[in-house]
Amino acid sequence: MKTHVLSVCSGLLILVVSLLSSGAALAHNVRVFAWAEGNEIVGETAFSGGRPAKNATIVVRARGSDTVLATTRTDGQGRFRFPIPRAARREKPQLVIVLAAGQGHQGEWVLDAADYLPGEEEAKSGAVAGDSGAAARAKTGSAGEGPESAAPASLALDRAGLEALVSRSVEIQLRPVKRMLVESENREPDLRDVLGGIGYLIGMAGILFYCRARLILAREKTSKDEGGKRCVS
Amino acid sequence: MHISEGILSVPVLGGGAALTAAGTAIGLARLDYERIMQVAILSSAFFVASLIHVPIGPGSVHLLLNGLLGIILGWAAFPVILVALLLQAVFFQFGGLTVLGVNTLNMAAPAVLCHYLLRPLLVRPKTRALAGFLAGFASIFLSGLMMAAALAVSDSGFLATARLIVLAHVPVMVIEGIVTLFTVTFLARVQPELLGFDGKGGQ
Repeated sequence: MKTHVLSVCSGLLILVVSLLSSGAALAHNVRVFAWAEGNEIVGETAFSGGRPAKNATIVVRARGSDTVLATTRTDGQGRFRFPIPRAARREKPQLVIVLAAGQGHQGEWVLDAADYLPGEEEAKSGAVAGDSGAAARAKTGSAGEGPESAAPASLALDRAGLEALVSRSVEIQLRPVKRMLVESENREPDLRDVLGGIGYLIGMAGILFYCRARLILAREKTSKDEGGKRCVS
Repeated sequence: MHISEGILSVPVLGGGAALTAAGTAIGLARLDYERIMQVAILSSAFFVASLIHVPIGPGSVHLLLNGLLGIILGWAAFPVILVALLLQAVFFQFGGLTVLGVNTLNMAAPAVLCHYLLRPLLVRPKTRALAGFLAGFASIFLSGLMMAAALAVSDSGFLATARLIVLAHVPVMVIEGIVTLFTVTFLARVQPELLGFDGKGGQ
């Protein structure tokens, strides 16, 4: 009889799991992700399952403070874009981008300063590289034969323009990669999660059974002992 | 139906957690150890059902199955839904740990209410199908109202929020009504003790 119950219930469960794996796997929380493109921060929103959060409010704050740096709304495809706030440029805080999609849905995304101000980071590291380059040149110079003690002035000028050009083209080419990276951090629940959760639930039932069984065994033992004592007396 | 982290105020969170703790205590005290495996499997069904999205209507909505759980389990719906929501928060990032109390209350309280209101209809074979449908339908409706009440403080007022949530959930209400109807009539035919018709479980 009990096995019958189990088979009915697990039939229901198998139905649910098969529905899930047949591509109807859509669900219920809301996610937002953002990245920088030049002087703007752009982002996308989605309920899990892929539906975009249309016309929802986006509020940008610096982490750890309540001051709102920028607000905007998502468009018909759930995308948004806003210029990097001036205060953020100045103080370089971590930006917290909060999406309020209504009806109890809220999601947030954190952008590090290095992620939305890559130009300045590059400039810094460029300066470091330049220093070490100069140091290396000084070394080779002291060894006696440097290749070229100083680059011609015209090349140095070209180099600045070239750097701007390269960084722009790299940024354009990296755009889809950035998007993919951000999206991969927000993965959908999959079969592994589902099976893991069900495993936990069955395991909890097992633990309860174990405790119950110990209790019953202990009770039987004491009643047997009492019975034995009665016989002896 | 899951409220995200960081929306509700502390008093609402605390109140929800306290009421859920009370409900869970009652549920555990009344839980029949003979039925633990059924309880675990129903909990699994609830855990997975939230992944089944209903792509009809304006909102982002999914199945809940809290009406079915309520009508079969009664007060035990509290611990069952609490555990399932905890796992959903951890595995799926639905809801969250701080809102666990409020979310459990929103989904489990209507389930218990349906259990007591619809029990008389469920026992009579003639009205059994109706009871099944109403359990699925009304439990989601009531959950929507409770969610709106919880959000009323921080969102755009109770009535406006409630209207939005209930409207978005109408397709799910109908689908769950039908699912619960068929499950209940099927169980009544093949496994009446699961529904507690022998006067034992189902408290």
